[in-house]
Amino acid sequence: MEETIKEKPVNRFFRAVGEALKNKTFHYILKRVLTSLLTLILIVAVVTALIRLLPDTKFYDVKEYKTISQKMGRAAADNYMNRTLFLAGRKDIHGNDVSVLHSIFEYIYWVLPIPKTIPTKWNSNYTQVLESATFFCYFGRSQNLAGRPFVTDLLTSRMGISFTISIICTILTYIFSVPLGIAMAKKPGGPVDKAGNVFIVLNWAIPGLVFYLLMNSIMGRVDGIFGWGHFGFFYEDGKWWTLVPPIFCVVFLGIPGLAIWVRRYMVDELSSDYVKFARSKGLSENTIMYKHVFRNAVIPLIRGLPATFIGAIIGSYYIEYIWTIPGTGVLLIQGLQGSSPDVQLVQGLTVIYAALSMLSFLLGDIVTVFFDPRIKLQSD
Amino acid sequence: MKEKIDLTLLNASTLTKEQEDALFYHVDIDEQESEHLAAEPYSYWKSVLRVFATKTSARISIICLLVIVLSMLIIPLFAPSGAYDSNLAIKNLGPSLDHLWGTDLVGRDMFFMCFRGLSKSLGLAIITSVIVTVVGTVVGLFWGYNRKIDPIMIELYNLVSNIPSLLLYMLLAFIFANAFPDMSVEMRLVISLSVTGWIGVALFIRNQTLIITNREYNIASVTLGTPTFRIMMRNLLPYLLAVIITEFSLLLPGMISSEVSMSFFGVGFPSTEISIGVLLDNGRRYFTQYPWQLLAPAGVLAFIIFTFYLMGLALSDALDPKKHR
Repeated sequence: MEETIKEKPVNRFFRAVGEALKNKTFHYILKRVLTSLLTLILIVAVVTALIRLLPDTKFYDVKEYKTISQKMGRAAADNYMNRTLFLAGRKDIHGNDVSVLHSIFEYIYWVLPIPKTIPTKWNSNYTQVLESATFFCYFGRSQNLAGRPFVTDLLTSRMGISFTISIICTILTYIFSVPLGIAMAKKPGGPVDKAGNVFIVLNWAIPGLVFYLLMNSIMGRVDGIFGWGHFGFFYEDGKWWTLVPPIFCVVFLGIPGLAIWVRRYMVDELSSDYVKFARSKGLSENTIMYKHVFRNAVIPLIRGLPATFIGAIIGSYYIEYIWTIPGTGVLLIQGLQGSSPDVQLVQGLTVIYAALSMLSFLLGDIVTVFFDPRIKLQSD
Repeated sequence: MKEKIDLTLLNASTLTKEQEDALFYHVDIDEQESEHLAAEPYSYWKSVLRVFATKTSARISIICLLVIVLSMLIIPLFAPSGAYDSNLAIKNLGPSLDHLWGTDLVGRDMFFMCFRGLSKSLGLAIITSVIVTVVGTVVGLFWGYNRKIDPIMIELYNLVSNIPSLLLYMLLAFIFANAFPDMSVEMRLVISLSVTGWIGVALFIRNQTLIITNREYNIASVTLGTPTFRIMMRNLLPYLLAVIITEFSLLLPGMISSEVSMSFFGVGFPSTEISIGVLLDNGRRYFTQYPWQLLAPAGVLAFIIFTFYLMGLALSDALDPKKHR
């Protein structure tokens, strides 16, 4: 009897796929992923086209070119230039100029997760490849940093500290601003709400840069009011307390942005019927607030959560620059500065950051779909 | 004409037919009288002014703005010769009567430097905000009326909004700086700050346009055969103007901050120019010894951002017709 009921595994698989294809959530996610990919490709194209505006001399070391031409002759120097420009996507392997479209497609090919071999070391004449490496995603190579590290390596080695700081900041911001928002929403127009509003307005009116600079200067002083903490002006490796001032700054400036949303969502929910019903049942205000209203009000906040976490990887330019934290945010700033900028690093980081922030928007939408049963998806 | 009835004695059940009739009398139809509205005439801009003037935050911000504008116009006139030139003999002096806010690392007067830097930063921010608002409004109106371009524009919006804005500004400024070295710094900054910002304004204006074009009064105008241009001028613009002003006043502080941040990171104005961002960057290096070098530009920046932020809040409240009564 069992044989007749049992389906072949292959058929079962296809039926599962068929059912999944009919699922509206699946359609929605598929559509969002595809449009995000399209946008990402467009971003890569625009960034590459913009980078093409830069003169070739920004892509190779002119000093190196002169040294090689003195030592090995002009031909070797030209080879060096051509090979470097090839790796920057501006010339083909033979040293001929390529069109902008070619550059764009080349960069997209490098970025796509397909195994590809990239030459990393040439002989002194720059005619033969001595070493090459296989990459999945090749984002270029730093031009200025010692040892010319690859952008992906740089990013993975520096992501840890940025990520740790930002996770701590995110958690602390939520810990402080959610209760503040709820307290303000309990009695709109009441004393707590007014005080909170003044705090939020003042907090928003402070330019972030000024606040960071002042806090750096005030909290860093050994003989100042924060001298007991020995926070120091700059981050020191292995001393966790030197991270207290930057984290404090980020959390302090981050509270109003979140609190005002918590308050708004809570106030919106408070006027709904289920709250009136809960009240008429005689539930306490706190139970209504935390058990009923907050659960509904938290959904829009969850939407922003992936963005916060992924923004964490990018790090904060300001605090990393001011407290000299060796994170990823400061990497970009360093690449942009000066007369000999690190073009490949900037290009790679821009594309990676754009991809990350697209991913965060995507995750935010998908997470909302799963958390909020009221959302009905339409795929058309 | 009618016999008087003592109203206090009235009782509906005891009234006779004559008494009932006597309660009412005929009025002649007066054309002029019937056209007259008993309610006070409502003028939108007058109400805006009235609400704006009664707000404390508005008063404070107006006074602050006057102080800023006047000081930017007047103070440079009193600058002694050599206030902007390096003079190592008077470097790092503390605040005194000769140098109100002290001097910087190369002996320039911080007081005059700050106001010169401020006028540069503010001028740049105003120019970019105007460009962004005007372009955004025009595109947004067109976009609102022409839904066919929706897919392209939404994709463009996604493209721009998916990259953190400061990163985008810095990338553009960096590309312009290296690709066109002959371009002046101001030009470069204006372009990089305004080349992407308009799309956000455009989307906002497009949404507003869509909302109003579907309102009853607009549909009534269309049904009555009002020309499109008149609808735009009389129906759309007064409503949109309020929205645009609010948008502009909220855009301005952001632009100042972006420019200052870019100069601070070394992507905006070079360190040889006088701007608030450059002054901040210079001042933070020796803050412990010479705190005024950081406090002066920081205070000026905080003051101006605070002013514009307050003003934006007050304006957005005053321009909202729902809050007029």
